[in-house]
Amino acid sequence: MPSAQPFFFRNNRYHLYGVLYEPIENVRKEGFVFCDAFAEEKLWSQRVMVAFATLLAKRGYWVLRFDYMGNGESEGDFERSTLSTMISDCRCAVHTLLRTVGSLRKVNVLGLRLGATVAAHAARMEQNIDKLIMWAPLIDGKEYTKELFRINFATQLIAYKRILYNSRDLVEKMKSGETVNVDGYEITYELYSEILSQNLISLSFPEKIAILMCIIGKEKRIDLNQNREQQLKSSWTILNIEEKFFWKDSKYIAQAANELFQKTICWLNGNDH
Amino acid sequence: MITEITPVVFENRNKVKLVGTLYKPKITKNKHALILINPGVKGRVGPQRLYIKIANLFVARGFGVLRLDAAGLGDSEGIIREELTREFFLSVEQGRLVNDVEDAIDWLSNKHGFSNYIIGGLCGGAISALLTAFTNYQVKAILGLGLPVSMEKDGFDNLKNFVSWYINFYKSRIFHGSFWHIKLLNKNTYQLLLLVLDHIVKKIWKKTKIFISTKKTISIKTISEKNLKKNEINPLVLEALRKFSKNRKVLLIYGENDKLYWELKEYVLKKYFKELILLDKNVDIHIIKNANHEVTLQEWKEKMFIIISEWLESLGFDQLNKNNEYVYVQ
Repeated sequence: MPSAQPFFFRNNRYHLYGVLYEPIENVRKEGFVFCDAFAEEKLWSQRVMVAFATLLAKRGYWVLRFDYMGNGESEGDFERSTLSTMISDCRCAVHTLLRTVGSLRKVNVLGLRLGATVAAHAARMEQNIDKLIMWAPLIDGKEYTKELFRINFATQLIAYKRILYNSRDLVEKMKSGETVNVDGYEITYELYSEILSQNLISLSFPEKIAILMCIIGKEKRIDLNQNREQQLKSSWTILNIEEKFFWKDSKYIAQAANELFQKTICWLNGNDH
Repeated sequence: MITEITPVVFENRNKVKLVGTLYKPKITKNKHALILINPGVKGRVGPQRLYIKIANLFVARGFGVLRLDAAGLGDSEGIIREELTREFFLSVEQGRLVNDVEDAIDWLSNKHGFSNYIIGGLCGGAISALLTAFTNYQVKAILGLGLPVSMEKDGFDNLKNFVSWYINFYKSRIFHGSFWHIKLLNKNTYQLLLLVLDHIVKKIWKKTKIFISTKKTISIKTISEKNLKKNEINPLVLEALRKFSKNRKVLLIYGENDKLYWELKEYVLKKYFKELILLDKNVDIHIIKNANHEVTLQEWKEKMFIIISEWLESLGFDQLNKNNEYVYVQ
C-alpha cells in the first residue's frame, strides 16, 4: 500500500495542508497535483479522490492532494478565498511537489468540478505542467452560480419558511459587502464574480499540454467547434462517462468511480511519451 | 496562548493507518482533550468546517484536541464495504467506529499524556462518542450534536416514520407559494415518493409469492429483530444515557428542524420522560430554533458555540485566552 503522508506547506503568509502519496514500486518521474471540488462537494468526493490518488501511486506516480486556503485543513478563513487564491495555491502545490520529490520530470494537474477550472488556469500559467485532467468540469460559470443560488433558496425555506431574497437580492447583498450563505459557506462578491466569468472552452493552453475532459452523467455534450483554433493547437480528448455524481449527497457511498478511473488511466497510458 | 497544530498518523488495532489533526496547547493547565469523530461519511473537518470552529472553542480553554478520521473515512486508510449509506449508518449506530476512538484515546494517553476526555461529534460522531463512553471511564463527558436515537430502518417502518416526520415538518409551509416551487426540486419529496412506490411494489409481489429484494440483508448481531420492530429507539442509546446519569455529563444539541430532533421527542422524551428527570442534572438538551441538521446558517452556528461555551464553563473550564495563536507544525 503506498504511504500517504499529511503535512503543511507554505504559500506566502499562510499554511496549506497536503497529503503526499509516495509510490513504492515502478516509480515514475511523474507526479500529479489534485484540485478539489468546491465547498461541501469536496467533502462528499473526498474518498473518491483518495482512492484515485492511491491507485495512481500504486502505478508509480507521485500524488499531492491539497486543500485551498480557507478550505479543509488549510489555514485561513473561507471568506478570504477566491478563485485567484485557489489558483495560486495550486501553483504553489505544483512547486512544492517538484521541490519535495526532486527527481520529477513531469507534473500533471487533475481537477474535479470547480477544481477543474482551478487546474486549467494553473496549467495555463505554469511551465511545468504536462497533462491537464478535468473531471466533471464546470464549463459555464453562470450556470454554476445559478446552482449555488438554488442551494441558498433551499436554506432560506428552512430558515424563513419562504424565499426572502431572490438572485438579484443576493447579488446586491454581496456587492454591498455582505456574504451569501451557500450550504454553510459564506460567498463573497469577489468569489461570485470570478466564478460567474468563467468559460472553460474559451481558455487557450500551451501546445505541449495534453488535455482530458471527462463529462460525467447526463451533462451537456461539449462542442469544441466554437474554438477551432484551440483544437488545432492542443490535444483535447473529451469522454462522456456514466458515473454517479459522487460529489453530491447520495444514498450510495462514494468510495470510487471505477469507469472514470479506468478511462483516465487508459488515456494516461496512451499519452505516455 | 500558543497551540501547535500537527497532522498525525497512527495505527489502529488492525494496523490500519488513521489520520487526524492534533491541537496541543503549549501551556496546558489540565490533561483534558477533546476528540471529534467523523460526521456520517464526511471527513474530520466536518460539514462547513464546523469541527475546526468547535476545536477552537476547546483550545481557548486549554484543551488538547484531536479531530479524527476513522478507518475508511477522510484521509485515513481502510475501505467501507457497504454500498448504501443507510447500511453504513446502521453499522455506526451499533458501534462501528468505537474501536478506532478507543485506539485514539490510547494513543493520546500514551504518546501525549492526556488522561481525561470529552468526545463528541455530529450525527454518526455523536452516537460513536456515546457508545465509546459506554465502556471507557476516561471519557468524562459527551458532546452530541444531532445525536441519532433510532436505528436506520428499512421498508414500512422507515416509510411510516418518514411520512410522519414529513407531514410534521412541512405542514407550516404548505401555504407559501415559493414552497411548491422548491418542493419540486427537493430530495425529500422524491425520497417519499420512492418509499411509497417501493412499499406498494413489495406488497403486490408478496401477494403473488414472488420475492424481490433490491437491498442487502444486514445481519445485526447485537440487537434482536424483535427489538428493532417494536422499539424505535436504539436500545444502546437508552442504555448509555441511563449509565451516564450517575457521574458523567452529556450535552445534546439539535436543530429544531432536524429530523433527528423529532425522533428524540417521539422515541425518547415522550416515552422516557420520568426517567430523564432523574438524568436532568447531568444531561443537557438544547434546541436551536429553526436550525437544520448541519446548522447551516452562521447565526445558528453562533448559538451552538454559545451553548457549548456555557456548558464548558459550567464544567469549570473557563476561557484562558480570547485569541488563539496557532503554530502549524510542518
